[in-house]
Amino acid sequence: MAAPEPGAYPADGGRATLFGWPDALAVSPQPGSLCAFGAPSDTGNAISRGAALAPAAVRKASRKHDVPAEFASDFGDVDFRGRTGSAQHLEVTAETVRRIMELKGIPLLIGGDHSLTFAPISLLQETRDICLLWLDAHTDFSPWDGQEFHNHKQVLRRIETLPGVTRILQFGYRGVTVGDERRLGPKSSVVTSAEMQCRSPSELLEMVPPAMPCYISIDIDVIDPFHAPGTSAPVPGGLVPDTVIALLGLLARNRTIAGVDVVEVNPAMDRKDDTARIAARLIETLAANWSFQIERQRFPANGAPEIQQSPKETAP
Amino acid sequence: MLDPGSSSTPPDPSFDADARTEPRDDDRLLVLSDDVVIESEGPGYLVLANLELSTRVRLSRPLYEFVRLFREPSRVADLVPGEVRQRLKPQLEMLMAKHVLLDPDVEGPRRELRLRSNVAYRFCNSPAFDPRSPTDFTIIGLPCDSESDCDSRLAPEALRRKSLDYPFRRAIENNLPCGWFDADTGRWILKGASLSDAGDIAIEHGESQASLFVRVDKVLEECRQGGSTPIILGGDRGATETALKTVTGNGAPTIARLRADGSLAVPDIGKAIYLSIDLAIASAAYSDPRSKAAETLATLSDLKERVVALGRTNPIIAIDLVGLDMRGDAGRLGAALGCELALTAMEAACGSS
Repeated sequence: MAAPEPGAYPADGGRATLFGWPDALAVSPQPGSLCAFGAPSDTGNAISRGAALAPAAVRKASRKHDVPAEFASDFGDVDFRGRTGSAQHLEVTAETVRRIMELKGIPLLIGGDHSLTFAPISLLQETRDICLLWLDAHTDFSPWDGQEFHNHKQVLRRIETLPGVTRILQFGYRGVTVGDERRLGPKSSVVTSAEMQCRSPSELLEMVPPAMPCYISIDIDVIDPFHAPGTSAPVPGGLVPDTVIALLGLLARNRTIAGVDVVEVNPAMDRKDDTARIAARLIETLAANWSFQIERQRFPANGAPEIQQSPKETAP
Repeated sequence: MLDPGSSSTPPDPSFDADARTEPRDDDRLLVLSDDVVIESEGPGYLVLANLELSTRVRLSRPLYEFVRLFREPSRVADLVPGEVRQRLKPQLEMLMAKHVLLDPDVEGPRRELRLRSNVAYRFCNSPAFDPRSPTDFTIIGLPCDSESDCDSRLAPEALRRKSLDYPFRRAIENNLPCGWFDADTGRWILKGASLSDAGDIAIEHGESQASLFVRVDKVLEECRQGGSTPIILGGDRGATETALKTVTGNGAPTIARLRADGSLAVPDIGKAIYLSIDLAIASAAYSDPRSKAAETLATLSDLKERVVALGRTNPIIAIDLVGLDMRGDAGRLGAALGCELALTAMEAACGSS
């Protein structure tokens, strides 16, 4: 499936951006801003193509939302033209992440397939230890033989080898699998989808270390496929969108977020853009609470009290 | 005429007493079958196949050139001299036996429909069914949807394809099936349970239900030998009625249907049952998961719990998955749902036996 042109979806005389945020080509983002960029690549998906269409679909779905733009920016899409294979796609994705980090922004990757998550995490963990929150129906821990490339089923196995990734929380594992994947290694804890449904978002938040920056990787298949069918490896019995939204709201208010990605939205398999809309809502939740992140960056030593869920974000 | 020295006059049958009742091979009119194609070729030979009758034969190139002479109905005697005819006699008999050359005046054999057809993928990549080695469960596809307006003939293929996410494995240390891990319940299922796939029951679309019944009956009998529990991949809901007759024999049919709303009418406790899982749930939930109608649908974990509970109270002697409508995108999700429910139902059957 052909990836859309970089910066495609023009509107209002310029590039259409996520939520109408400022275009990073025109306005340099403020330090601490959430810096979105699309990575329209699906070569790392072993099952099907289509995730390369997601950045355009999510941007389009985001236009119905009104999200504060003061600390947000859109860097457009990574240009994969002339780059082939997973390793090259990771390289060029990392270049965009590096540029965002130089501007002291927080990368928000809109995939693309899940193999791309390696690019931002490998860079972010070089400067500080991070906790990785992996929201996914799958553990993505298939064997990886140490080569310079990996696919979306192996990506967490490779990330786990990075020294700066000191804690991994896998949330959402579910269904019938070949083996018991609840123990991925000494750094990791797995909370199954069934267990998540028995805990409140606040209880889940407590599992995320408060003192460590957290990278949030959201594979859209963590959501039940009857809500979000546009994904290549659906597993029935997933979370309802509100559960994930409530958790993200708490994370944005109470933890330092080092980076975010939303991956594996497949518009080619979607039902009337429902999945792209849910992806936009998840990002909206983080962005709407981003002022708390700016506050944490300005006053990191304050030890701000935990801000628990707002009245509308009750556990489902 | 292949041999320039041979006579162009056809032999007179009156010289041979036997030929009066049955024409000699030399005099018989023969023609190349329309169903014959070149299947493959190599140095000095070709393989011809009769596609209608599934016969094949390997010919030398000279013999192939000879066979080509029968593109128009011809008599052997008109084409080759007498001494060559004698040498060719065994080959001619073989070509007729393989239905490469036909006597246009004689009605050909009727093709018999095979009982089962091969499939592109086997459920969970399990071994192919071998009647000499019965397994605990045998998968059988019944890609028939003539009893409803449901488009389910491709459902067995979709279920098998999705099932490749759950490969069947045996442990290297003891050669026993490893089973699978159910992350939702935190338990291993189907440890030690063996599985094989018998392919699809051959379907001739448009045939009478009675002739299909005969094949379903034969295949299910074959697969159930050795006590194997059949797992039937439908097909529309008519598949249930068809299979039920064989599975229950002359006894009163006892069926438990798991429906989209999670309802599962269970007969008397202890009575052997045929469990039918209606995958129409996928279409219902897919149409709009936020609708009022969708709110009445059971969750996957509810459905699994009900199936497991059924296995505790009643022996499950057969399972089917029916009603998966492949129109639209719901089929893909229905296949995923079907695989989870099939493995759960098999575990319930293990517990019940």
